[in-house]
Amino acid sequence: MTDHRLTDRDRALLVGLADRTLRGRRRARAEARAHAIPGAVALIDQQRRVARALHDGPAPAPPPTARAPALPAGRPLPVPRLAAAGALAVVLLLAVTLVWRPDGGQSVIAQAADLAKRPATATAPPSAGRVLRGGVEGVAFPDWEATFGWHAIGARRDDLGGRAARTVFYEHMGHRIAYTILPGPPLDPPRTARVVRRDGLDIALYRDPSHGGHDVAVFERDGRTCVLAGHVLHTSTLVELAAWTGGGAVRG
Amino acid sequence: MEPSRPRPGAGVTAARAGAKGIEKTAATRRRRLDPSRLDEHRGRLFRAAYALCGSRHDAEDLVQETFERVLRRPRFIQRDRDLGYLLRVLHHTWGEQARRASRRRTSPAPPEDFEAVTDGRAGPELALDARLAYAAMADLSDPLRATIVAVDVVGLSYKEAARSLQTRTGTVMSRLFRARRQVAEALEAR
Repeated sequence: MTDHRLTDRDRALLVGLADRTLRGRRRARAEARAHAIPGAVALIDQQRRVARALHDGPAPAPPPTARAPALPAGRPLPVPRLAAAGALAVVLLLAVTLVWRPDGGQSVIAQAADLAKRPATATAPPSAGRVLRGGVEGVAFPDWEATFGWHAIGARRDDLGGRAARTVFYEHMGHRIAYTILPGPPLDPPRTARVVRRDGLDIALYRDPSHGGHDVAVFERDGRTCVLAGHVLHTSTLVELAAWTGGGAVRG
Repeated sequence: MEPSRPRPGAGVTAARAGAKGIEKTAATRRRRLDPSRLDEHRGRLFRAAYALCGSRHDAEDLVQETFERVLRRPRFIQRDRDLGYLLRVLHHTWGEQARRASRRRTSPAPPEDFEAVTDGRAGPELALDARLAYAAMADLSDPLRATIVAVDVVGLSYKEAARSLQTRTGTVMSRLFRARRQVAEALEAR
């Protein structure tokens, strides 16, 4: 199992396969090529082992008393540039407002994604095995603790566009995400979202820049819209969590 | 199951042509780096610095010097590229520090430097792998180490890493393969 005969292209393909970043025909071509590489499976496993250790393993954390960055010593922006920047911001804001004016559904989804920044107002529902007790119109919140390590830490209820939304907050390795289930007819995700399919579930992914780069996943469970939002290292985490059915306990 | 890895930032890619114009416009605009938000990136930069230096104290100094350098004058960057930009500055700063001190090599990290980021849920195998992986990175060449730090430690996408390291995406991927391969061999040799 040596890699000295691999070309850089082969190495790139194996990395893409290991990280599952290839899609469609590129992935098919890469898999076909990998079949011709002796020991490709072991090489891919090696790649994943290291990536997992560095992604998910413990890491050196900065000391809690670390010195804060010094105050900005930069020169102030010249006034004309400030004015131009302000005018540009207004124009961009108008453009975004006009073109991205959300319909009702997208507005509700945006509000649901916004809940990721809000605090919990109630304790998390207790576990009932692979799901948490309670839910919304028959759709239960998953209990990811045993499988992924994400544990429920709190909950809240909100009225979003006339829908009684329930949210459960989960935490893992310092990251916090919000899982909101919206009752009523399904809502369309934002049209700018990128849709991926995992285990037969269509998951619309987008990044909400207004939340410091929060990732948002929108999908349906049993005809109800679910919104998973928060800051995670990789959007694939949201995909994995959204697609998890708990052996059928989470209705899909 | 190993998660697939659509990269952070990939979600902003427009799925439909209608949004592309706006995204392109917004993406090509430069904005001033907000000094008050630098601290949001401190954790990842510290891990990157640690992977480069191999010592907690040196990593702290490196992050601090990076911040000071960035704050010396207004910086204009394209949106959502703060982390890649900061990593590039950190890498340059480390290179200069290392040249000044003639200490390019790092030493393996002592176990006490490793803390579960929050709740210590990582199993002992994974914890050991992580510690050995950080130690093994000390033996990588600079380009390989910079690449694995950018992608696996900081969490940049291949494209973001390529931009940060000022190289091509394909180069990042092939370097990442070789870096992980060397680290994996160190894990297997334990």
